Amino acid sequence: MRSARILDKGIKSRTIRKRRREEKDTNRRLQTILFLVAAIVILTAVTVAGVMTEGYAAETDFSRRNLAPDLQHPFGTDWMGRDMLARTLAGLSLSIRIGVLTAAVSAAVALLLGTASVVFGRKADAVISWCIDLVMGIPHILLVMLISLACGRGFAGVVAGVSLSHWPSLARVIRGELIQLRQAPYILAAEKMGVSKLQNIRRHMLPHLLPQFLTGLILLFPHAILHESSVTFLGFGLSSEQPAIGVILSESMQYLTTGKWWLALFPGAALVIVVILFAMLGERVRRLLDPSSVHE
Amino acid sequence: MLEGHDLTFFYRGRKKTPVIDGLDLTISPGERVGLRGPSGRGKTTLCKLLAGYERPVRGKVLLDGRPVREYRGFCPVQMIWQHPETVVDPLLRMKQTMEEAGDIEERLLEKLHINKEWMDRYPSELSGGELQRFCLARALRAETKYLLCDEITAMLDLVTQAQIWEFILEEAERREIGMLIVSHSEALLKKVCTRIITLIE
Amino acid sequence: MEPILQIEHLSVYFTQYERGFRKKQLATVKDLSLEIAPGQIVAVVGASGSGKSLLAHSILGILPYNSHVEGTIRYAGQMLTAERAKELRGREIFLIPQGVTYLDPLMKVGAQIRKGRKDQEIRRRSRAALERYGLGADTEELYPFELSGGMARRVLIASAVTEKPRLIIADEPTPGLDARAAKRILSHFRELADDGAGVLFITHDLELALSVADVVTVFYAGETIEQAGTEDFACVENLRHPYTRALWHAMPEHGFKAVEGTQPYAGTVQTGCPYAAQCPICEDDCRAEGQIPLTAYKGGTVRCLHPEKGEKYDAGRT
Repeated sequence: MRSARILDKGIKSRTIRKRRREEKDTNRRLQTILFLVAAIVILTAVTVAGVMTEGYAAETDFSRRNLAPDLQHPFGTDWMGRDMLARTLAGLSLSIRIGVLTAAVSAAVALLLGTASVVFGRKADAVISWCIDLVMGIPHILLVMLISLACGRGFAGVVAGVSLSHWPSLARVIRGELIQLRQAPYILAAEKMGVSKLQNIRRHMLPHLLPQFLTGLILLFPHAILHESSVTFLGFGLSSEQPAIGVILSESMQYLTTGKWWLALFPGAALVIVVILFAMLGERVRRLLDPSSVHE
Repeated sequence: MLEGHDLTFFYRGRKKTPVIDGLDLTISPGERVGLRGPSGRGKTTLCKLLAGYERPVRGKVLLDGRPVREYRGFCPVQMIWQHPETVVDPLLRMKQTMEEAGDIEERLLEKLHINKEWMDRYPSELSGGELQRFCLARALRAETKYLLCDEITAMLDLVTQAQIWEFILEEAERREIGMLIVSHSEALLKKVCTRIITLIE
Repeated sequence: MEPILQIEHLSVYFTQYERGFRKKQLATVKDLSLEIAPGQIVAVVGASGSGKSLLAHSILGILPYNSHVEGTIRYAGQMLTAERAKELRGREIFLIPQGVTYLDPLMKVGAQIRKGRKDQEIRRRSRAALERYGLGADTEELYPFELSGGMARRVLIASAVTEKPRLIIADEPTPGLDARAAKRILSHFRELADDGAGVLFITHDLELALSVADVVTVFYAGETIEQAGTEDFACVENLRHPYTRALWHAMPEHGFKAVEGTQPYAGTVQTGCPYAAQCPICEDDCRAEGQIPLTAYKGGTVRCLHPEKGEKYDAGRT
């Protein structure tokens, strides 16, 4: 009995402590929004800065070759005397732009095929589902390399490769969501109230699809960026005169053994940070829009 | 007159086990037909066929001599579902959902005890009983001639159930609405129906 | 006999966002006390949205992330923490949930009942359990999606009796089942109780609860307003709270009479009696500060300041 009472007390004080902590916890939703704004500002800034420093990034100056990082060149310089900070920024900017472009193309393809498979009946659905399974079955990196090679490498090759290999997962989500929506009782009931087909799509279908589509789109970015850099690094992507992160990294491999660590470290780390930022952005947007965690 | 002739329905690839097989049913204006039967005997499916949600594989549903699925715009045969939360769009405020059903008489809202401030809420912020009141209000427009009720109060508490039926009975009697009432409760059917039919295995 | 489950002054709070960034706290279950003895079926009856499902979730320690609990829950005399509940769940405490999604969709029924054990003894017991509920041995080889709603529920009960259940929590276990099928499921609870288990039966359907329970606790807007023996419902004079009497009068076989108004949401009534707005005999003190205490009255308990007055009113009505 006594021990029960002691336990009892323990529980009580624990719940009180828990409540205090909760009150102190500032608002998660506010934090999320702030994070989203900050992430978008940073990513936009990097993109713009990269475009502006592109000229400077290509400037060679043999009087400052292979300098280790210092105040004037925080990321150091390479064997042609180019400033690595400028090159990294330009590379990231290019990656982000390619990422946005490919993610947009992928998402458009996904939307088109996902909708088609629901609208055009069972046969179309079977064909599209088969395509989805096929593309999903091949490792991304392999597919990107193949398509990029077939399209003659370079900018066009990479964009084609990445966008044609990344649509299936989103297409599958859209297809599933639409199949569910088509049979949703509230849509059927609205029809019986005399709401037209077009009205139904605008009022009841799009608002349900949009959050799924948006999060899917944002979560495509990190994949697209990473895959673009990988194929470029492997030599199947962008050509070596372009300031791409993949190019920078593959060049730096030759100098790594001679102790020029800054050539790979900073651009590599910067790429990882950008990718993580995009992934977190997508994750937060998902949590914000998902009703099951909306009160967190 | 709402008539179902030789109604047969089965799901794709399940021809051997039809949910409904050659059923005939007629509901006249002002009549309240009770329907009982064990689970899985197609009571909900019958409601969906009569309201034009599903097309029968064989047979036809006629409303005053015309196939019910041919009616465009607001359908004079309305179905009330067991789970009201599935028939309102979760992303729209009730006001927007109700706008879709056109002008709803102030009188209906009052009699159903629909609070003005509920209109600004989302469905997830309302209870099942409250949502069912909205569903009834929008289904009982002046054009409605037949009302199909599929276990509409099975998920509600007794007080709400009594409130809702009190309203429906008064409204149906005054407007001569024909009704099909599905329920597992013998006592309820006896209280509200003019005749009761049983689906047997 | 020592109660198997003993809940004292349980309150469940939720933190929610109002529009935008403002947070608020809602007490969705307020000061709930409940006891279940071995062999007893206790029904908790309340409307949808009255907070009754939260009771099951707080016993099992599976409340959502934005909630917290005050008060004590004792199981077999000892505090039931979330960790202990997790440990006992599936061994002594069983949940028969509303949906049938609690079965693992990727595992055959037999393997789920046996919980991974493979010896002869458990095979025999699981087969016997399935048979007891009218399911053949071939059911073991089926996947959950191949079961009908009623079968899935019987499988869940079978998986309980394969062990030695001491506490069964059934949360709306019979939605969508016709009266006959529902009664059949409920009769299994009676058998389990007769074997010495305590059963907590949570439902919105008072008539169903009366057909099986020993004690009925009535829930209104997050508060237990009355606890009565099932036999008290035979005759309206034996009931204690105006709302319970309103429920009785609303039964189709007892007049089908409704009272005006609607039940407030759990957590929105700040002070006084939650039933005040619907009560025909509400007094000024019913709306005063603080929660109305639960008091013993005529062999049960009631959360009402003027139970005698309600009786008089009701006697005049009929």
